[in-house]
Amino acid sequence: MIEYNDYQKVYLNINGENRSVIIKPAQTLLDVLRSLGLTGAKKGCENGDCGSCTVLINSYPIKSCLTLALEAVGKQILTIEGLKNSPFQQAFVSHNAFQCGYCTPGFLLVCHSLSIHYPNADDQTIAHWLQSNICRCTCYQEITNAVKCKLKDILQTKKA
Amino acid sequence: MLPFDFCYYLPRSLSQAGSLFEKLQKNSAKPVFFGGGTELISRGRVGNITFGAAIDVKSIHELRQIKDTGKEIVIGGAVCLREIAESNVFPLLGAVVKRIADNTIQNKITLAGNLLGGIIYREAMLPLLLLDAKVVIYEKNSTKAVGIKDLYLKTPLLNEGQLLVEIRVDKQKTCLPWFHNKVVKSEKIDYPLITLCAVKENSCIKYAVSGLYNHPCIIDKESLKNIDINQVLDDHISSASYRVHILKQQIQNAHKELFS
Amino acid sequence: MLYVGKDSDRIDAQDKVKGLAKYTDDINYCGMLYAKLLLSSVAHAEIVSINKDKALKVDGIVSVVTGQDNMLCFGPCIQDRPPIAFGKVRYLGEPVAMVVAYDEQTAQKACRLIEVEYRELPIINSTDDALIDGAELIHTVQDYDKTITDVYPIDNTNIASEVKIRKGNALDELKNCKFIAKGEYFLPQSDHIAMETRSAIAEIKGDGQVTIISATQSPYEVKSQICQKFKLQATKVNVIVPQVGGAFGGKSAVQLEILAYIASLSAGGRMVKVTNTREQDILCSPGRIGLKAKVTLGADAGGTLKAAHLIYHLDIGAYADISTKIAQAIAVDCTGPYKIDHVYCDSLAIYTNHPYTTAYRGFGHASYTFCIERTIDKLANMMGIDALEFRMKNLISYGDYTPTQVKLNCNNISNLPNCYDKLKSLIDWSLNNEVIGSKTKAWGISSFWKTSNSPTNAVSGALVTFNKDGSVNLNVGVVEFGQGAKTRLVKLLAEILKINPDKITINTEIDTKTSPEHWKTVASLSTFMAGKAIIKAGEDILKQLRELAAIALRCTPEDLDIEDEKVFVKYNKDFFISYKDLIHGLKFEDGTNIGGQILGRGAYGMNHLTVLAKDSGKGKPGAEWTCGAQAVLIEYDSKDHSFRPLKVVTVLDAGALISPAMDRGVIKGGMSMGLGLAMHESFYCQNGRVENTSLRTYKVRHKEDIDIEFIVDFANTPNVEAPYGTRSFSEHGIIGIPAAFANALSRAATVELDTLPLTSQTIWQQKGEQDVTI
Repeated sequence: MIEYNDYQKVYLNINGENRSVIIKPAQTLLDVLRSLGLTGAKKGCENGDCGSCTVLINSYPIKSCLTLALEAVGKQILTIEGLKNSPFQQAFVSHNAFQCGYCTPGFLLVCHSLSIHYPNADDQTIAHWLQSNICRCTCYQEITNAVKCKLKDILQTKKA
Repeated sequence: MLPFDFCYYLPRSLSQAGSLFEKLQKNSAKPVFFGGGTELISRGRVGNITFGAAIDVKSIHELRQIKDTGKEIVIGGAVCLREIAESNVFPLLGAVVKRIADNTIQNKITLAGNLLGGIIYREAMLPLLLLDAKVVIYEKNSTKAVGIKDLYLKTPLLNEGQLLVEIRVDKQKTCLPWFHNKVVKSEKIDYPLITLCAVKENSCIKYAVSGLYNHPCIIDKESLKNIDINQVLDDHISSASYRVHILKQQIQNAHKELFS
Repeated sequence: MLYVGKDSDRIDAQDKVKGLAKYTDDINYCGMLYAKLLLSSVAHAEIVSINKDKALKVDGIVSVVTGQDNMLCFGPCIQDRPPIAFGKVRYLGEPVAMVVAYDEQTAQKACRLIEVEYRELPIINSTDDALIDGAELIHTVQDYDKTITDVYPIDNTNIASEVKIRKGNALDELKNCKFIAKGEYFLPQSDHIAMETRSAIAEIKGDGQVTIISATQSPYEVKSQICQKFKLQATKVNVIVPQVGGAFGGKSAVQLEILAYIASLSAGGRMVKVTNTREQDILCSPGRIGLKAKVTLGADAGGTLKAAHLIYHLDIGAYADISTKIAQAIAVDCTGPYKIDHVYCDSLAIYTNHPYTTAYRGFGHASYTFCIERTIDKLANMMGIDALEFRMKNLISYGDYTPTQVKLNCNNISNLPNCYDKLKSLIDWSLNNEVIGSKTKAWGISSFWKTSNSPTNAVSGALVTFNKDGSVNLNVGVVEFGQGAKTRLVKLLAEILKINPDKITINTEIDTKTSPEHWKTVASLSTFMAGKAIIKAGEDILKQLRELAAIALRCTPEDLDIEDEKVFVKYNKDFFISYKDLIHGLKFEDGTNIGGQILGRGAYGMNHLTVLAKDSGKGKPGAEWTCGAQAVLIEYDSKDHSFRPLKVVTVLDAGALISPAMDRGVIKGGMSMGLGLAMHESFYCQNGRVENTSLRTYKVRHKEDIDIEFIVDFANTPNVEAPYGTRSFSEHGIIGIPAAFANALSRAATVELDTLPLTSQTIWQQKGEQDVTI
């Protein structure tokens, strides 16, 4: 049986790389990612309420502030730093879908996961997914437009 | 980081989990069963709770199943809310869990976590109460099935060392006409002001509600007349009298919808 | 215009979408220590004793600091606030001790082992309680030093400042008014909830050089307060500001920076970081004022507003911070943008045992606007005049005088009638109170205006240098916290130098050592002030370029013009020299050189502003007033009193827009916060204890199931004194939204909704708590 009681070396698969880290049970995944310099996942509330800490685990969005780092062993973790050339990133830029940028990595990862699991997402599904994240700077209209525009593009590209 | 240290275990079977808990408890190591962990971590962070050992139950196969046996629908205690909704095996429960917390957190909160945690609402309890669910509990190398109605008012619901393996409901009953509405104060992502579930069986409607008292409860016309206003929740979400008003309104809506 | 008025990507866009933007808590240095705060668990008490013994015994503790170690008081208006409480605690959540340790977990463990004994005092739980004769005094205000002269505490009371407006003779004039509407309003305290919580890092080197890294809107204010109080020479302190994750005024207060400095002092100068948890950010760090108001407006038989009697009581919490200035800001604009010749206003900043408060988007304007605009609706209703027409009839305009008796003209106020004309075309005002079944749709309206209330000598500056390849470095003291300031300022320099903005790099980080001072990045003034400085710096550069080019081209500087990074002879464009060949001096073919690098400098200071007269409020508090009109369309269901906003509209006269799409985004962000104030946000305070200190219980807006339509349009009346005719606007989106919302909902539900947030429960209660029969 797997047992950890103090700092120990484990491997975490982060952005396609197997990273060896020395961690202890009390550390959340958010703590560990940030200690590795992957500061794109942010501390906004450490209570699962704001979504700034969102990463993907096995392609689903997870709030890393409420996940023990050890829970992520053996799973595929995707952080914003690993999101290379996602069409959502450019869409956010061209739609002005962020201002201070603090919530942006979390939103982008939710969008990325949505496009994997619900590429045909209707308005209700888009709303349901985006409701996991708080943006204090925008009014959500730009984020919604960016997401809808890109999902449509992705679908059209697939059809073509 | 949590402000206290603890050990982490990942057992692969019920018996491993059970005997580990017993051993740790004997050594005063303060073990807890760790499912989604959202409550343990969030309450641990603010100093509301401490534990010495976290026994992660998510690798125990029996706790991760969603089964349709033909007669029963079985959902493991460590199945997360999203998986319950996506499986569509129990539509009313699916509707309820889709309104607990938010979409992302639904990838983490487990069924057992919502039923057994410290947060008073336990909305996932409501469909189980209405369908007379059975709860399968593992303790000391054996399992037993207990009716949820015999359990839900206990505090805590389970004794230390007991592990919620799965819930079982009559498959036929999951197809009965149902009603669910979660009324919140203003913002959609919030604890309930009132969450009402109802099921119609043979022209008879049963209701269960979260948010009225500090525990979920079954409600009928009699108990509606005898609500003790002093027991009703009164806080920043809603006054007690408004809650009762909303409950009555929702019951009216449920009745209308189920009989239309 | 080549660049101003055109859209482009934000200059910080790529970093932000790639997760590479660094905010204060992202910054870690090897060997850095961590500080954690112990907060008071009582709202008002004497500190009898603090026992640090158990905490000090924890392995990994470097120091434990209490208020006794640093008995200094800070404040930008009244110096009433100790960074760590000593003698007394005045709000639940006030820091009473700070632990410095090698890691956060250890610091937290030790915090919980500190034992504090309190002797509780009576709690002042409201502004009414604070003003009762013989009420417990939270402070002895007369004992404090003042940082500014125009703050007027009243000795032996809980009043931190009293600001008066006495224009004309309102009390008498009201007696002659045919129609008088009165209202009493209550807005609870609330919070900024920037996504990034506050964070500060401090280090003191061997030679005494202090470096502070902080998520602050006011790096120069941080520097000034720390130098002044700790008696340090200004060259010995620098403040660095990386990216900031939202601010909304909350990060203009100086708090964690002082704590980080004290923590570093206690650790022998080692680098220490202190970062708020969300709960601490809400409770311990300052939030937004509460307001209790009594508004009386009088109009004559013809429907013309004549007089206003306005009493504003600000719940500023336990310490004054900048809230005495907010009392002034409210007084200055107290009537809303209406022509009212007779104004009597008392605006009081009142201490309570609630969390203390600071600047918040709108600087008090959203609060008093709610009270005024609700009363305007009541008055219009009373007179049987359409609410929109009544407002339009009474708008303040050129030639009229503001409450502080500033004469308005087409430069110092934007065109509100134009805004209303546009608003009318955007909303179906005729569809007002459209009823279908149990549902009613209704519009609510609000005007708004705002001026800046900056210090009369607020300054800004810009420094420009060139690189050898002709690219440009721009250095300003303006902080970027999402409002897009940096992107706009680059465009201003690009416009004047006629250089592509892609060739200009602006400092994303502020370093007070090298960035020219900018007052504070508040009051929506950055584009105006730093813009003026940038234009001066640009003109400075052009002058130097022309002078040197004149030598090369053998003509006079007046013969020359610039375009496309070239200086050319006006009447013979083929005769030119590139910037690149001038910016590091002019070198001739034989190798001789003349001149050195071209350095551009520009400075701007606010001018012609005055301190307000104490007895009447007469004076000039700001350079200009930006105005607008807002409307909210709601749908209300009488079956269950539920309601939702459908459309939110702002027409703003912001003069010229520098970056239109980005500017709209900022305004819509303000409108979103306004919806939050209207529907969700408030502190739930029971006997001095704020119950909702997490985002679980303090609700902010999430994306709704059904999208709300946000509509923003502009009138454009240039302010000729401002860079390219711009006007302030960043904060303004929030100002009238809560009022317009409440007006709409009051109309639809036929109740008077005079408190925030608006809830179905309130409507149900006002309608007599009708029961449902089962």
